Amino acid sequence: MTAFELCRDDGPLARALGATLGRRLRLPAIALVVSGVVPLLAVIALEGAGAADVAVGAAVGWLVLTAGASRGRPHTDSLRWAVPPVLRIGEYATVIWLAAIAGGGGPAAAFALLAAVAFRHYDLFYRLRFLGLAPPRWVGDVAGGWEGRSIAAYVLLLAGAVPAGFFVAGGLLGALFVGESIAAWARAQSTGAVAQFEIGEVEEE
Amino acid sequence: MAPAAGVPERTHPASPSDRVGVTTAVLFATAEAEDGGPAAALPWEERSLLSRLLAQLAELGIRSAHVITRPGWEESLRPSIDGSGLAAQLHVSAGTPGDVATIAALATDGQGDLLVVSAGIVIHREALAGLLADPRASTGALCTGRDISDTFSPAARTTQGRIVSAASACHEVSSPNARFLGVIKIAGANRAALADAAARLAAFTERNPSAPQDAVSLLLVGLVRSGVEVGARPLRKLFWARPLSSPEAERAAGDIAALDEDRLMLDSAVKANDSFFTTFFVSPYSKYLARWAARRGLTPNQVTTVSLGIGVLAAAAFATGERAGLIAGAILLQVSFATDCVDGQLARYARMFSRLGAWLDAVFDRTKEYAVFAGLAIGASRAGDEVWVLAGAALALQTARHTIDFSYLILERERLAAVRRPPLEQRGDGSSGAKQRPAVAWDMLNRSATIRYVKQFIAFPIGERFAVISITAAIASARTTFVVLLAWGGFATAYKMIGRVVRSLGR
Repeated sequence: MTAFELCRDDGPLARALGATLGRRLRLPAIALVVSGVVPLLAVIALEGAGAADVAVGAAVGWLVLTAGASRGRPHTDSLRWAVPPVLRIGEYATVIWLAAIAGGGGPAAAFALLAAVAFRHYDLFYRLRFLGLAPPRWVGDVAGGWEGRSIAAYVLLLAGAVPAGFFVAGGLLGALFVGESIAAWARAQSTGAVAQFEIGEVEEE
Repeated sequence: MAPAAGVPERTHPASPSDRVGVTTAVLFATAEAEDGGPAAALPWEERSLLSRLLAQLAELGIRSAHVITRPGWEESLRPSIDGSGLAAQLHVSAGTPGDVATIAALATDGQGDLLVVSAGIVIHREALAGLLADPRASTGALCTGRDISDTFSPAARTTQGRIVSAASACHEVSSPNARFLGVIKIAGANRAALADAAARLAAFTERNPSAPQDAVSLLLVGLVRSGVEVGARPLRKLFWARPLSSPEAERAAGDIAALDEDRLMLDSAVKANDSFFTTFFVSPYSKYLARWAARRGLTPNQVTTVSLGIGVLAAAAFATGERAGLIAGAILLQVSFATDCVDGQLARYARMFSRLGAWLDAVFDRTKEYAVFAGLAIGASRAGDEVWVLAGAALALQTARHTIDFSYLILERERLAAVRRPPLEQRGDGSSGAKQRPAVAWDMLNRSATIRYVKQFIAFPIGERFAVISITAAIASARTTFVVLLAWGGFATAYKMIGRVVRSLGR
């Protein structure tokens, strides 16, 4: 897996979409990701917290379909660096939007969920940079990837379980991400693991 | 110029991490002084430049040294080597091909890290220690971006903290941005690559016997062009000179004695590319806290943890939602930020770097910032204002902004790895100033400190963000804080994205 593929934080569904749909679409990855995120942001701007379930489902489904398919495109063009940040915007905007629709304690629960997810997203990069190792793939798969979490958030909204569901998901994901990270560092400290592909420290005078 | 005799050098206290892996040094005493003898034998406080350098290396844990010199110079160097406190061996070589062949033999024969250095340099011990003691940079060379009026120190181009092109009498660097100072540390893992590069250089110098060559700069060219990753270790504010006559050596002695090495280390511990707020409102006093922490024996990780603790206290104060709590939180957040600057400065001052420390520092910074967001939102809820959507949006925007930076760094790394390394026979480095003209002009603006600060200020770095949080929360409300963070952060994102898209598409 390249560093860019790693930083996408895809789950099994996005990988499957990439391997099937992505193979056939002759578009750069960034074009697919942007074409998934822009309609989502447009629906958020137009409908806000009053959006109907169908509109929400369509926007989230379209995001997962297009941005998931982008996994199958080669990340070699000059704008490949823009893929991970735009994917983040897609996932985070989805979670906040769904929580706002649910109302009540939803937004506070969304913050808790996003804090756990953000730890994962920072750690993907920081661990690569400072330890030279990527987190094992099972962690990303158990966490569902950005697309799995977006779909799960929508299911929780339909089930009317948003504040509680988001809080529980945030707690479980936080425990998984932080726990696995601490275990990886403890292992590295005791074995003196060697960096595989380290992103160097930039030091200027 | 004041005479140097009797003026003791004010030195930086040695740190326990000084004695590290590098145990062997190779010194090139091949440069000729004006009097026709070796420059390394020029006088220094009744002894010589070479004996000073050997004593510094011995202090840093180097056990054995190989001194390479020209025929007929052995006797003038012998006194410096005897009584140097380390096992030093003299090698005689008639010219550059012999110099690099000796290196090839030494690199093949043995293991561990190796230091290659020009024997005639006058340098602060701390500059050598920084190169030797830093576990992050395996293979690295001492460089400076400062304007050093020395025709010897060859040009280099650095990108992303790596040397991507180096010059010698036979090799040119396009758009250079640094000078190489004649000191290279080669990691044990790169010894085979060094031997290989040196063997090819020996053949290359046999074919091109024209001008006298400096073997150290040739070796750097050889390493860089054979694809070895060579880190650029900055000299920072420390002293470096390469005298070629007795008056020059005397002047260097006067200059270095007039400097306070500990003071320079402290100034050097401050990141030179910090933002406006950090540079002018935090670093002027945080470096003294760093020195105090170093003297108390505190480690950077302890300071990082204290900073997180204070940050969490700030979040708790914000969570009260009352004016007094908001003001207390604002003050605590600034204390936490200052402490956070101390850990990095302490690490650089005392040279206590660790991979875990760097990771903790980064992760705790984010934890503090987002804990403060949560604290502010809880406080606002208590005061009857629901701002959780804004808090979530601020977290999302800031994470996306960091992801842009990280992602772009990966891109630059990939580009660096893909750069074709030209063969030794090629004079130029094959880089035809590939940057487009607008990007060059934009980067040139950075030469003005004011413009650099303005550009960083727009980009909304951590010091500015924390200042905004403290000020808006203390005098207004959590809602104001999030609105300002989103507005400034959104503008900064657009600014950065546009700049990088333009750069990406122009290539």
